[in-house]
Amino acid sequence: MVRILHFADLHLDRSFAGLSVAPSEAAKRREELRAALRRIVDLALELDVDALTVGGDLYEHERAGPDTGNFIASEFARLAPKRVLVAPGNHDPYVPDSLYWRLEWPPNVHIFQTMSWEPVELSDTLTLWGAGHRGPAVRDNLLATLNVEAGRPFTREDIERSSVDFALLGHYHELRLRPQDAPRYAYPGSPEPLDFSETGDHYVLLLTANGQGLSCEPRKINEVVYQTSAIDITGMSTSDAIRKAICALAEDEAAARAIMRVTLTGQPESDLDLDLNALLQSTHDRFRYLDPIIDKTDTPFDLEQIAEESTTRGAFARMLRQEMADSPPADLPVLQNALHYGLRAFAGQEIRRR
Amino acid sequence: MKLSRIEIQAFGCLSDFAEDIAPGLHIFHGPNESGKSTLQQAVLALLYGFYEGDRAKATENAARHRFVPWKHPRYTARLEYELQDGHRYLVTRDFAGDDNPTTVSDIVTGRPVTDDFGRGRHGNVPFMRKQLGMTRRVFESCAFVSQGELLQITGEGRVTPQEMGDAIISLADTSRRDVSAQKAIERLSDVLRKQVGGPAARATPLPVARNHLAAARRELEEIDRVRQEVAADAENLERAKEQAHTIEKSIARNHYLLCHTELGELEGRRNRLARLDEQGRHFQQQLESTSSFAEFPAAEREELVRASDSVGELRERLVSEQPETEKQRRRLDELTVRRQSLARQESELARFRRYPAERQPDIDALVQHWRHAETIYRESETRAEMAARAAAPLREEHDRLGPEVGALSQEDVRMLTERLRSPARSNRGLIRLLLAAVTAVARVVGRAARSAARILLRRQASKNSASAREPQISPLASIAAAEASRLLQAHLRYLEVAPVIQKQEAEQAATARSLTNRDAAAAQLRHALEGLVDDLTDLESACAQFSARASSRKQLDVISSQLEALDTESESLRDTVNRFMADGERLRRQENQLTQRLTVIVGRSGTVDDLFSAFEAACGQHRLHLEAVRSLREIENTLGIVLEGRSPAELDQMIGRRQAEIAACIAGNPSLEGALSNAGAEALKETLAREERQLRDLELRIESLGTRSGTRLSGLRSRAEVEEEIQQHTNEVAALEEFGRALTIAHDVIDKAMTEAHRNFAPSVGRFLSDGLSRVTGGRYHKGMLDPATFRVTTEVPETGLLVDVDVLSQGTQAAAYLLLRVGLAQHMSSMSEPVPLLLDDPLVDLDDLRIDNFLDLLLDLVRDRNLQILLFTKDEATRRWFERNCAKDPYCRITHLQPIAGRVPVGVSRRVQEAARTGEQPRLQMDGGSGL
Ligand SMILES: [Mn+2]
Repeated sequence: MVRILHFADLHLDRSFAGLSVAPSEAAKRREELRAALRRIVDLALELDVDALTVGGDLYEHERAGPDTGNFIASEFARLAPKRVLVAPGNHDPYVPDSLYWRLEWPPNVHIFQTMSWEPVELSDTLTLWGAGHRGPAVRDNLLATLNVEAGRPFTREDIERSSVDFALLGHYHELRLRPQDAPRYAYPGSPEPLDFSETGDHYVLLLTANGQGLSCEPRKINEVVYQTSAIDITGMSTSDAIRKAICALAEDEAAARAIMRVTLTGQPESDLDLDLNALLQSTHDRFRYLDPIIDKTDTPFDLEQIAEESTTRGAFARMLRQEMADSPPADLPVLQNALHYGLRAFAGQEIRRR
Repeated sequence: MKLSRIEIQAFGCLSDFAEDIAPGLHIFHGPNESGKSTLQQAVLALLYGFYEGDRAKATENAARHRFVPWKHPRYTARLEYELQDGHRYLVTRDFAGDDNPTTVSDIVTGRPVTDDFGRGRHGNVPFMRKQLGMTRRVFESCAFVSQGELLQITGEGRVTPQEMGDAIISLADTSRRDVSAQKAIERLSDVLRKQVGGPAARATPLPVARNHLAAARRELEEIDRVRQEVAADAENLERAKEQAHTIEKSIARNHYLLCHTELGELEGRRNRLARLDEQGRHFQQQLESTSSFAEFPAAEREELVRASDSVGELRERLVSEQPETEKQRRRLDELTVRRQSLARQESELARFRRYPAERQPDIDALVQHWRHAETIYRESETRAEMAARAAAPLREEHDRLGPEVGALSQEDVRMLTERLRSPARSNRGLIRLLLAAVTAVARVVGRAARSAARILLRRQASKNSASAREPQISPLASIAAAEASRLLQAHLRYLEVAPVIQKQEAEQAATARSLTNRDAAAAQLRHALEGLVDDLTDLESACAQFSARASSRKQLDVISSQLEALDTESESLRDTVNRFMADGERLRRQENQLTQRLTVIVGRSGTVDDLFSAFEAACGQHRLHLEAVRSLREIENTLGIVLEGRSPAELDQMIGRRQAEIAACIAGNPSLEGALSNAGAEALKETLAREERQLRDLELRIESLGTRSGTRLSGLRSRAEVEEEIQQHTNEVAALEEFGRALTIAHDVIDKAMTEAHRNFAPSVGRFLSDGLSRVTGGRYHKGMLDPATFRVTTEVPETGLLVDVDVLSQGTQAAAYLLLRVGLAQHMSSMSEPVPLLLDDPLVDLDDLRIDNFLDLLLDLVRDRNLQILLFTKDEATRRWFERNCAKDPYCRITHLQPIAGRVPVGVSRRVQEAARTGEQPRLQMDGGSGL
């Protein structure tokens, strides 16, 4: 029996620029990615697998430094003499200035250095073939050269037609076992979710090969969860009511432990003074992390009525609405904000950035 | 503008009247004759004076006179008002004089501000136009409704629709704007300035965010630059390693080749050593075999060879010269004999040594000359004899004929011929004959004969000239023909004879001349020979004698020169013979000397030639000896060079070492076996040195690249961090820019709205009309529209759904519509400027109670919501009751009850006014139509 623990797309040293997080928070996110690698190695030791395999994007080449390389090497060294087999991905290609190339790797680590298939005998009965990126993009169908016809550029049919028993892949950041009932290939997904689009749990794969055949078992590995919640503030006449609604979310333990993003929706009361920053300050400590609150509420003004007024305000509302009707959709948010700010100015209310 | 207090000293029927005016709705309630309309007119006069147009002085005075107080002497009043900006003013007017002086002062500071507004015509102070932005006519048309004039907004003496529209537009365009909009704009500008900001204010959020963004981008660029350098270093490192590997392989190969080449060279040296040994032995033998000649005096050889050569040469020359020398000796003997004979002849001829044989040519020439002259003489003598013989028989005949016809001239002959012809024709044949003869002679003799004849005839004629000249006419002219014939025949004969005679005489003369010449030549010759010969008697022999002597003298000269030549030749022959003999002597002497020396050297005796051969053989042996010595020395040197200071054993060791190295190279890289190169050892060594240098450089480079890429990135922040920062600042900048854009748009649109909303007043006023009409009519009419061109109001009739002019509807509806129009206009203008106080004098008389209540409710809403001030003058009890119901406790509202004023007639008012007062009507301005009381 041979057992392999497979993971991919860890993206160490990733930039969290896409998130509107504070610098210290981004650093924390990166530290969590490292922690995930530690846990994976711990799991491999615990399960006493025969090999740990990496399906690419272990780190991000243009961001990772030697410190990260040394960290990876020391983690992998903990597994010796069990082997670690790394297939460089499009984010961590095997190029001269890569960590793979430059660093001294422990003897139990093997890196697939070319885009042509290289066999590694894991037992008398199991051979693992590997290939790695030499640059950021791959155009060839690799499986075609393995008497198989796949990487990304390949299709499901390619794998099913190939002579391989199982394909351990990387690239998609969510778990994919295909076909679902009797998988022939698998994307483990990223061990930790990397942004709000990667909701839910994340996994590594345990592949077991015995006399009967191969089985593939996902094992949950993530500690972090991203979650998005919307609050309808219609009928809430005070900031305090909204604050309480946000705090109420944290009563769910999972939400409190998540990286949370709150969006406000609905029709606010006209005299509601919505200070998002103050709201964030007064609620964020209830959560593991609370992203800046997003205001997607409707305008509190009765535009129909205002547009009927014979006042300058009415003329203003009419003119802006006319302009909105005449403008391309891309300009609408600005015009909507202009209307909102103008009406607040007429009303003598404080004008805050939306 | 809000009116706050009015004080009237005297104005029309009112005197000593003072009242604070409510800021909202103020109702002046009283019965007829209580002065309500006068009070309304007093307010208007206080606000605008009585000024109308530029040339309206007469009507102005009439209006002023209408309100001259009835009893009170002081025709003055004052009004306090407050503007929206909080300033409060007091205006005082004195209407008594034509210029009704006006003053305006700031109530708070007490400062007179009359001059701030500029003086108008006749002391007018146009503060209303400045502060409210309305002319009197516009104000009267909208805010001031007097009794019965409700329906007349426009028309005779009133504002035109065009004027009204212009007034509204000009109000909209002035800087006096809607205060709430103005404040909104200021608020937006403030937010834009403080929360966004621009490049002018560096510390504002947008420039700050932009600076942060730029800094972060620079940092990212720096990181990327360094990362690129690291990547380049990594590439270079790989390349350097590859190069090093290539060079190492090349070094191994070149090392192998060098060993190979050096081994070959060492082996070659060893072979050469063996060959040198062999040569050494050979020359050693030669040295030994010639050792006895080591000391042979070979140095003298050169001199001896020269001596031997000299002897041989001399000997040879003597043998070759011998026959010639003999021949010359014999010739010398011959010459001696010959000389002796010549010497004898010379002595014999010695006596002619002084004879001038040199003159012989001269003499020979003279002899020649003489002989020639002799010959000429002999010839001419012969010719003279021949001529004499021919002339002798003719002489006598010539002598005879000469005197007779010798002198006949040509003329004479003609004349004779003439004579012959004329008388005797019978003789014609004869004459012809004669003439022919004469002609023939003449032709034959020619010109010479004719001239000779002529000479003769002339001479004859001149001889006869004395006689001939005497008779002028020739006698021939008269001679007979016979005579003439005869004369002509004689003349003919004379012409034949005369030349012969003449020739004979000429030959004689020539002979005489030749003789003279011959004699002269003989005398010359004789003179020349004088002294040279002994006897001159016979000139011929004398000449022969001279010739003989001269030739003897010449013979002597020849012999003398022959003797000299013989002497010279003899001398040279003698020299040759003598030299030959001397050479023979020298040869013998040299042979002796050479023999003596060679005998000594060779050490035996013999002929010169034997001795010399022996000497030469010995010299050869000596040379061989020297050659052996030299060769041995050379071999010695070459050995030294080949061995390079080593021993042969060491050389063998070196060969052994090279072989071992080659074996090691092949063991390291078997493919090297058999590798060959054309390069020499030196070239290979150079290549090797160069390659080793390159390898060292590469190793240093590899090392430095390795360490450098390790340290390059230290000190830089992580790229992810900087990217996040950039994202953050980018978001911030974008958000601020969008915020700024939205604020700017809001600001600009409000600004535009302020103008546009009021310019386009018809819809606005229309909306007010619709709302108002709906309220006043309890919802019956809910649509009112204003045509801004005519100021007509239309509304929709609910039964038909048609739009109709309100003029066709009930009086009450009409009144309500036009009152709403005025209030709507005032309200509209108030919204863009200072609020306009509305002064309404009993406008509701045509409305039923319900509508009055509705209308009053509407006015109250305007007061409360739009902050308008309304002064309502009425006698209506329903209104009073409404007020008490709705506003009694409102501090913004007030009611003033006016009491009737009785029995008062103004002093100096017009007849019409007096009439009005008498009939109990209220004096009014422009009161056409309307129901009045
Ligand atoms: Mn990936």
